[in-house]
Amino acid sequence: MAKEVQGASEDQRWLVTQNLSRYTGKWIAVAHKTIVASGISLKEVLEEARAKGAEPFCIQVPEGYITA
Amino acid sequence: MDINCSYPFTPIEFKGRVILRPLLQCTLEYQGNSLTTALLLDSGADISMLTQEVARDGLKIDLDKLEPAGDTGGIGGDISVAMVDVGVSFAMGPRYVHRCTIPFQIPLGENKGPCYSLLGRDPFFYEFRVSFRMGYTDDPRVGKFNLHKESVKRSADRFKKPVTYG
Repeated sequence: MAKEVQGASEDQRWLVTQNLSRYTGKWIAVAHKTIVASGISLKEVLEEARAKGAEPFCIQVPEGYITA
Repeated sequence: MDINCSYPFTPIEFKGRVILRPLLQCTLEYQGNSLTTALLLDSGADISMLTQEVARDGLKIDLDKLEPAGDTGGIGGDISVAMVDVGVSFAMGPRYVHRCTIPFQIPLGENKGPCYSLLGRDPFFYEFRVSFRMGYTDDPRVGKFNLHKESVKRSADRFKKPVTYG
């Protein structure tokens, strides 16, 4: 049996410990445990983050609903 | 190589209850364009799907040039989709990155498709034993999901074969 190791990146592990309620419904760009851009569209968030020299992890912060 | 990795669920609070979603950070690559984003591990989806926004704005796929490959059904009804092969990579610990190519459906026309891009069962669940351990701790916010690479393929000779149809 393989020994279990943490698979996730530091950014993802950091992200799940953050209160993202102010970003609900928005895209955020994360790099080096910092939110470097946020906005309504993925396009604008990517452009802003890349203009700052980051190649970010982009995730849409979901609004409160249950998926089926 | 025998690898077993754990990942944190992404917790969302809705009407006082905690919803845990298995989101996997992946880097997607298509014809020289790449995007690192989160895909929902969806054991209820036959195959994978990208949202239009991820395909168009993240991977620069021209949706108008995609050919319809058929319809796919879901909880929201049937939608017309194209199929595109996309490179997918994700970390399995600090020293190993798993790389593969996965065929993704992309919704066409006015259909927005799902709210997340999805990693469906085929081919992902052939490559990994996926376990959702939401009850791993006594705190409903703290669970994990595991990806254990299927490193040994058993011979199917001693199993009765199911009948496929369709």
